Amino acid sequence: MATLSNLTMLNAIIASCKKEPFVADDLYRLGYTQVAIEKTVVVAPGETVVPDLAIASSNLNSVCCFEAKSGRNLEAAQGHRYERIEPEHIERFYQFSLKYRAGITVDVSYLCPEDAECIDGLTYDLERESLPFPLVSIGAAIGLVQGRFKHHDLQALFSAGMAVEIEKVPKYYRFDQDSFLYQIAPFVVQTLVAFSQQGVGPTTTQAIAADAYGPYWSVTGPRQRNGIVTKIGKVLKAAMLKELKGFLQGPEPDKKVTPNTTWTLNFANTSGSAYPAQRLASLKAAGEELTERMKLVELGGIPGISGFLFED
Amino acid sequence: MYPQPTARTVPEMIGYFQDRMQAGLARYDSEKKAIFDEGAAKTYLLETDLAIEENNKHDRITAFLREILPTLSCEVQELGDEAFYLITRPNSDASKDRSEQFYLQADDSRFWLLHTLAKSDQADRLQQELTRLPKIDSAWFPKQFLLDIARAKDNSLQGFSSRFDNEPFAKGDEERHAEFSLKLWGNLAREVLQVINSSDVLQRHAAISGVRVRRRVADDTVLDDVNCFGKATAFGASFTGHYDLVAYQIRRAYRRTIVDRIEDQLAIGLSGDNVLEGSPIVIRHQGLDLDLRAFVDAIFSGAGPFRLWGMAETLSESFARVLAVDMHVGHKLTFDIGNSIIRIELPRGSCGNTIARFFTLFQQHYDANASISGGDFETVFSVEEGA
Repeated sequence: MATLSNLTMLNAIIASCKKEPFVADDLYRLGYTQVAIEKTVVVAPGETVVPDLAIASSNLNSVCCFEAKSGRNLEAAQGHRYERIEPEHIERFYQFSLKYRAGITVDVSYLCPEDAECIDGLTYDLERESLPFPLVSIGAAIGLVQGRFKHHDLQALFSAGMAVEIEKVPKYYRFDQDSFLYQIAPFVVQTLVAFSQQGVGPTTTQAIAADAYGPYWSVTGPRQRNGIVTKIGKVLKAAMLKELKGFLQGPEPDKKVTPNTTWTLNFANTSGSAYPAQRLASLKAAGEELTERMKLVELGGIPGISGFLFED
Repeated sequence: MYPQPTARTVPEMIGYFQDRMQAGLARYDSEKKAIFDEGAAKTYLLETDLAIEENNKHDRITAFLREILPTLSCEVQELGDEAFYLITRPNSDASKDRSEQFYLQADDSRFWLLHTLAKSDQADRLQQELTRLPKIDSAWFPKQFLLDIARAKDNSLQGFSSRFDNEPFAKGDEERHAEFSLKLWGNLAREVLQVINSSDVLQRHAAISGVRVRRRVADDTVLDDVNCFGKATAFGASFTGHYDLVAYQIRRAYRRTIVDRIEDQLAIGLSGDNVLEGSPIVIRHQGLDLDLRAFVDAIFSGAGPFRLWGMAETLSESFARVLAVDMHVGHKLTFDIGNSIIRIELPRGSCGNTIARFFTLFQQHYDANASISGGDFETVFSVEEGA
């Protein structure tokens, strides 16, 4: 299994485009900002690429598209479609024409975890397919493994490498459909407490998922959304039956959770009165216990509980 | 039956308050005796979270006031200007038969001004009760903002007050407990501040909780005590000078900080083009002097003073990521905490006043010298435009 998820790698690049206290802000200092995620670019009739992330610097007249690969294999056809990407495609589909001068340099780079198997696999695939894209690994540092960036500033920056403490990389992307439930659970509990304090009435799995997922929900595709909603439904059901029993009410235990399943927060703050400190402390403890239980099941493989936890 | 309002418009209120302040000063001159609080006009800056559209502003505010004020034993009546109200409340001192009057000016639907000539105990009581309700909060002025008010155009520093108490972090441990309190009026305030700034210990503990400002505009001079909870108390004979300070200088600067900087430029969210806009807000302080878990527990219990609930998503010896909820408005925010840095991610749509409240209280309970920056702003809180 790869050591880092695609999300962490993308978050590290996005963070480097901002003035961050815990992550090297080298890209920010070169004027790069994140300009698009998951945005489709037509590179030839009927052929598209959807970079995971694109960053741009108007100072340097440079755009760089990133494709994150947490596994060992490259999709060859996708790589060859990236070969066809030209500045005019970027201008047309990212609507840069108003902001940027002519003659943009467009780079495409693959990101992978600092993991020997991943690096070897992707290096082999890039060479086999004669794809000219730089491969950047992310681990203790963000650095160039092979290939060259067209833009000399990017080449210099990634060749020198940027220090990064993975634990401290901000979670602009919080989780996805491949995340473990224990990684998702704290965000769900946070949303439930916020909804409760706002006096939100009965709500749905989908509404909770959208809030817990964060800013990227609006640009997440339907398939991914379904996967996320399914996982959040599992977290909600597990929490309702144990740690958040009495706080969260949902469907009967034998009923399947759907995107439209209704959930009610029993202590919703409709009266405007403050929560008693004891209740707040118990919600915090419940959230931590829920997360810990899921971690034990998912990483520790505790038999017997997992069947309950993962049922739909 | 409503009591007859003394003023029906903002200009009439200014005239009335001006007359009362001059009468108070004349009385002082003739009797040669200071009558504490008598004739001193007070204005409170309040922050509201009513999600008001401009086209239904008046009706929405009126309905809200009619809903909440009776619960505080107050009567409210609409006056002649738009979003201008008289709030009347019986004096809590039963030996006094008159009721207290408060003029609420909600022309800026987010940041309201509450003006009164009532004595501080009565006026503070209403402000405290109002800000305990959801959707209304105080304005919160950290040290940088208060000192900037004193440095702003036409103003000069005439004193300051300081209050610090680390009890939320010491939690009854007498050896760790530190308290500091100081009130200094006079023209040596700047020199005393220099002394404080020359000592690490004093810098950390001398939290600025208020400033005394002399404001001179043309022939008008007023002395105002501005405290960290958004209250300004005027002394002297010029209500117009006081009004100019609170309505134009302070309220505008606070709006610029909370709305233009924190909510519009620093809050994190996707633009219409799917660009992740905004920047984290960064508080730097002198470092942890307690275990990180205890630090997190002290801040994120959900109770006062910080009123933040939070659950650690990551917690190691040197780093914590806390998913928090502001219990006053129910908005979410994320705190990343290292040894001497607190990084705050405020989602777009969340209330910027939460940042002002947290930072002001952090200075008063943990590190009086903490700084705050974000994106291209070296300091988030400042009074002068473009600072």
